[in-house]
Amino acid sequence: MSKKATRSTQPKPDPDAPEKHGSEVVAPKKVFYISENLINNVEGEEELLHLERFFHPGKGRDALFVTLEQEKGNHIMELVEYSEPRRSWLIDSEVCSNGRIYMTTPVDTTFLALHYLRKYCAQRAMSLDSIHDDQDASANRLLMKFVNADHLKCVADVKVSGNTKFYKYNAERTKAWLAVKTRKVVDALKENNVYCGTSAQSQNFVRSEKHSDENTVNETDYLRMACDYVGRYLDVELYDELVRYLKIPTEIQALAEDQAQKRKSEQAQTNNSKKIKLNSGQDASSGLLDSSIDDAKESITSPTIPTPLKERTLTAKEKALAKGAKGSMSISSFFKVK
Amino acid sequence: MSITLDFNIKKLNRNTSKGLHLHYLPAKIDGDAHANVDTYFNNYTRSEHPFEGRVSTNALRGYPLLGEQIGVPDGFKAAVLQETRQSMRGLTARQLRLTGTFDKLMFWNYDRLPSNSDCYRQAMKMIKVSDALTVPVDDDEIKRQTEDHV
Repeated sequence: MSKKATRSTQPKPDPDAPEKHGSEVVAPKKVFYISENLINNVEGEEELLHLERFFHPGKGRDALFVTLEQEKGNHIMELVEYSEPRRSWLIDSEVCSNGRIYMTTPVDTTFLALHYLRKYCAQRAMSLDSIHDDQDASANRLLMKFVNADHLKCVADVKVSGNTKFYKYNAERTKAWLAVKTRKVVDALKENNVYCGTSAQSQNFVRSEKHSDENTVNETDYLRMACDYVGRYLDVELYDELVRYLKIPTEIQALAEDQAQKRKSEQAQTNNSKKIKLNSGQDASSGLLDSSIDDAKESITSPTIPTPLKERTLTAKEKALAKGAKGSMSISSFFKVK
Repeated sequence: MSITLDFNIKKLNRNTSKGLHLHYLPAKIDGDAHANVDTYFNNYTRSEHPFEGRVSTNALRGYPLLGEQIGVPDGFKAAVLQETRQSMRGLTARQLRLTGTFDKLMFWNYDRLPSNSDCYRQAMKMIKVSDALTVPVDDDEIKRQTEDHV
């Protein structure tokens, strides 16, 4: 038997050859993490989940939400995507180029309603069913079917007339409500040990007890992070109002202040710390650790803050220079093409 | 137009014995097609890594991978869904059908041990925070807040 015949009689599955069952035409697969709360809310076998688009105030455009409509009450959840720049899946024996994970997360519908309340109910009280957005047909459906009207009293004055409830946007109440929300997020961030400091830090880095006493991450960092988190569901103007209400300094301001404080204390210490590093080995290692943290902090701060810092320190000088330079020609005028 | 998840969602609660086998690769692959994963990938997964027992090694096109099996985060059911009749998109309502479920996946990193520094793990941590945002706020808390705030 020739070699060729042997091969043909015992056909080996050629791994490189595409297999018959639709190797090319595979409809894209998607990986979903669906919240158990949502699944447990589904009553019957026939109830289906839907993905619908509603206006998302934080994004300024519509986004996908998971909805469940049933007799005993409707449910809505946000659909968030987890995506990294370079990720893909191998699912059983298929390649899936879409490396995203779609997750359902709970959403407070008051945030979604807030957008419409601010838009339509700032001047006069309106009932939810009378709010219609000409550009956005889904608004009415969202407000009527999914928004929990009981919670709207946190952001609006409610007036009852007969069976109808009328809502009027209350800015002060809304801000207080948002502040409470922010505080809850701060607690959750702490509970989950989410690092909120301004410098980068390895998540594997376990702090010693002694170190954590020093409270390296201050309250403001947590507050800023929480405020950003809440801000993901707010219109931009409302987010700005919240930042002002909570009196959160901007990151640049905070860094500049931090830097200014550090400079003062460093002036006294720099010489000492250098000596320690050179002298005893044990101290040197701790010194190295500290300095590496400092370096990391500085390397991050340096590209972002130089301009505001310079302006702050040089204003007096600059003023004097500007005064002196009054009436003189700008240097660029000498290099003009004549 | 809404997209329907066209399957009995309760199915996700029933733990089927044969779940899907998933690898989360640290690479962008252009293309969705059948691949001989068992022969060319699963065959080469080794778990006798010197660092720790939990870490597996493999390689993708010669690039070393370090991987770890991790479960789906608590409170979630994982499912792979597939869109039907993509060519008809826009003409008919879109539908997603259930391909299968899984409760753990192989998470692969390129050249780096899987750890809490991975974006994936940090994201799963942050997901828990979203619960805090949906806790209803009662009137007293708002009142206290307005009084405290000067």
